[in-house]
Amino acid sequence: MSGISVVDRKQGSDAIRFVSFNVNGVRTLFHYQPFSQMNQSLKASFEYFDADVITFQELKTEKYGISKWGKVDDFYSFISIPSNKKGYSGVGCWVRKPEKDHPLYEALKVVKAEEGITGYLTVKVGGKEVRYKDDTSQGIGGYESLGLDETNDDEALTLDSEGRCVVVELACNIVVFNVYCPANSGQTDDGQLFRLKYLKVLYKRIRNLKALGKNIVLMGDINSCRDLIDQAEALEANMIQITSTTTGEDIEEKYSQLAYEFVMNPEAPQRRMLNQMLTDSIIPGISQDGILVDTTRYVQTKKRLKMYTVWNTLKNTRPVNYGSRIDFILLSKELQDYILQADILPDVMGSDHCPVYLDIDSNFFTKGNDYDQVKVPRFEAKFKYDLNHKNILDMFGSQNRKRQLPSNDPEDGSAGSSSTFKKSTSSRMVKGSTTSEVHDELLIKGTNIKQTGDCISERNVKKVSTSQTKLSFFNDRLPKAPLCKHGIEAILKTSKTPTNYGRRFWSCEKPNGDSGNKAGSCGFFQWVS
Amino acid sequence: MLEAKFEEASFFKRIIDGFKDCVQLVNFQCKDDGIIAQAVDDSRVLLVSLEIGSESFQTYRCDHPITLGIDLNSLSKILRCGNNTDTLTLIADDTPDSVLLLFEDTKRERIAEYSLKLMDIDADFLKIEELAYESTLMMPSAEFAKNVRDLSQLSDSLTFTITKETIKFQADGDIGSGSVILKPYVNMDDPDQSIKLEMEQPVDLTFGSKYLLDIVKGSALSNKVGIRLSSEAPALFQFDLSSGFLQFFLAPKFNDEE
Repeated sequence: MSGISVVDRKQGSDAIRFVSFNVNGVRTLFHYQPFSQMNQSLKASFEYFDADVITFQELKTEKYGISKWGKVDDFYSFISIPSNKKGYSGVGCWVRKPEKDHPLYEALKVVKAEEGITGYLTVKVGGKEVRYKDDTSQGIGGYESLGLDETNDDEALTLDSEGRCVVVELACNIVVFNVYCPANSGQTDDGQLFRLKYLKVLYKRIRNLKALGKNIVLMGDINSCRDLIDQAEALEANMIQITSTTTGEDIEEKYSQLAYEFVMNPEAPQRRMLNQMLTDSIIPGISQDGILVDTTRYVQTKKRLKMYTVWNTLKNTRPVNYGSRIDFILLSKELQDYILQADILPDVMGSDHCPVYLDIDSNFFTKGNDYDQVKVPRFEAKFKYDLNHKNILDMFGSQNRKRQLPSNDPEDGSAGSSSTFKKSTSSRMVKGSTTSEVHDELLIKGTNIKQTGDCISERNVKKVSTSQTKLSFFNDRLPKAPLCKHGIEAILKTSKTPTNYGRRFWSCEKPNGDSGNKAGSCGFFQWVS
Repeated sequence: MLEAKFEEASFFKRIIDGFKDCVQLVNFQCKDDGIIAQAVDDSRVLLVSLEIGSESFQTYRCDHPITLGIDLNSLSKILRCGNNTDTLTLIADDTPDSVLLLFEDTKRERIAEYSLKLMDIDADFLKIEELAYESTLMMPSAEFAKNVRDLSQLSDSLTFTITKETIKFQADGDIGSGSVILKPYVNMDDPDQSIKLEMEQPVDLTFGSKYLLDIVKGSALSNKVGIRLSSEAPALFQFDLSSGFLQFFLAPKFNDEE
């Protein structure tokens, strides 16, 4: 595996590509290949995806950092960040500005843009702060009966205080919701109430806009699975084995009751709510009012299993592809026939999530209207975050830009990465004991044996081996590591469970995967005596 | 081999403090006649250009041109470790992975030595040509800093208006507005306190307060600041050193709404 994955270009210049990616910190994204070669340029990363409308979730940036992410050449930037929590959440949506003679010039024209789902947030128009819901020149509409407390604004403002949604209306009559839905990762009752309220308002707003005749794209991290087959843990818990010939239909037929219960689980109403928005839910009763198509599943069909978009980083389950699918691009069913391609990009690293994309044919939209009069929405980052400065480099004239740095070491041709420590640091890391190299070799051999479908990238192998290097230092003080069922030396871990807190044990070094996967953990466990 | 000795560590510290808040990763190019550096802030609005001539050093030697890629956050941590009256010597070999900072207290023969790892920083180096300016202004740096700090409390942007005989700084904000009007003034006793204005064409420009607040941090380097404005070119704010300068080039804001 080469390590750097290439994203397919879109087919035809009149195709619109939507991309959604929970980047888990936009800054850290640029630490990973191929983004690390891009000199922190968002534009370069958008071109890499060949994206026209792209959303990133969990930007984890703050107002001060937006000057960097809110100005992208040839793209409009719309960014929402939390009003008080710093370096948390945050959603951005960037829309390409094609040349005037480009076939997408009209279709991608941004007519309006809005922050939040309720319309209660404000934007500055002509020096005054106005609410989107009160200003038809800025607000997209559809604010009726969202189920909010009309007497008190706090509820709506709280829902929209965390930088979770950016809504963009395009001239081709598509309203794009870019969302990072609450996860309730703390598993609190309040968190769950907030999450359900958020989804309720979001889905109602979408239905309202649909009733106004708009087409919808809902993309982002929905933080909810739609079906049993989208969650490795649930499959494992129900002891459902997947072989290379198993399809989603097989599972849903054979375990129809489990599949039903997964969606309708009263503990996880977010799944039922998501299914109610879809046209093809496995539960016919609730999908009759569905208005959106799950484009990834529609194109990939239920034949494709293990199609996951997020993996647990702590348990390192990505190499064995043991994850779940919670990132979606949902599209109005009216545009279903215009879908050209939709897929996930599991080989693109940089986050605990992977990107998802959708290509649609823009010919559903008849051109010819005059959009030159349409003004750039006031929510554009340039206005919103006061970034309307000229570019200093442009002012000096770009022909002037020369590389004049005397190179310190001519033999080092691999310049390009934007800012890394000089080589001395890395070489010092390598200077371990010779035993570590033996470990390396052993490991690579071990992992190469069974690689059916689940590739382990070289980087991951390396990661494991460095921890091994450190361990060899401790191993002198500990009894020799026992061999696990793979025949590989087990690794030392420390228990965090309340009953055995702090007690150390040996465990298989492989990540936890589903039990059928030989590249995953063999389940070896032994207390350190 | 680079061996550059400052008579006082505080001098180099003041230089670095003058621009460390607006740029982080900077390539310092060391040549036989001194050290130059240039960096653009993340938002590509402000360009910092530094020149420390060899005469600013007590002793200076650089046999072979080298580039020191430095994270200013890390550098200023080390600079804080030295005493102000210590001498400071920067030492690097011809293909350096790190730069050595040597603080010496000559009276007490105390020596402190720090090594700073260098970075590979991928940055373009701009050849700055002499630009034509419509107005040139020279004023006390402390007074300029006070005006900027006062007015930027009111608004995110400040407008500089220069007419034949007057210089006006203005802020229009949500809570209210304010302006300061200055006229050329000659102080015979203390020439540094004078305000000089040369105007060929009236200028009316708006700048982001945030950037101006960064620029006035250079005031510690010089009693005077030179400001050169033009409607077409980036504004230049310059603080002179005994040999060399710290320059800030700032792009103005768009005047139109669109």
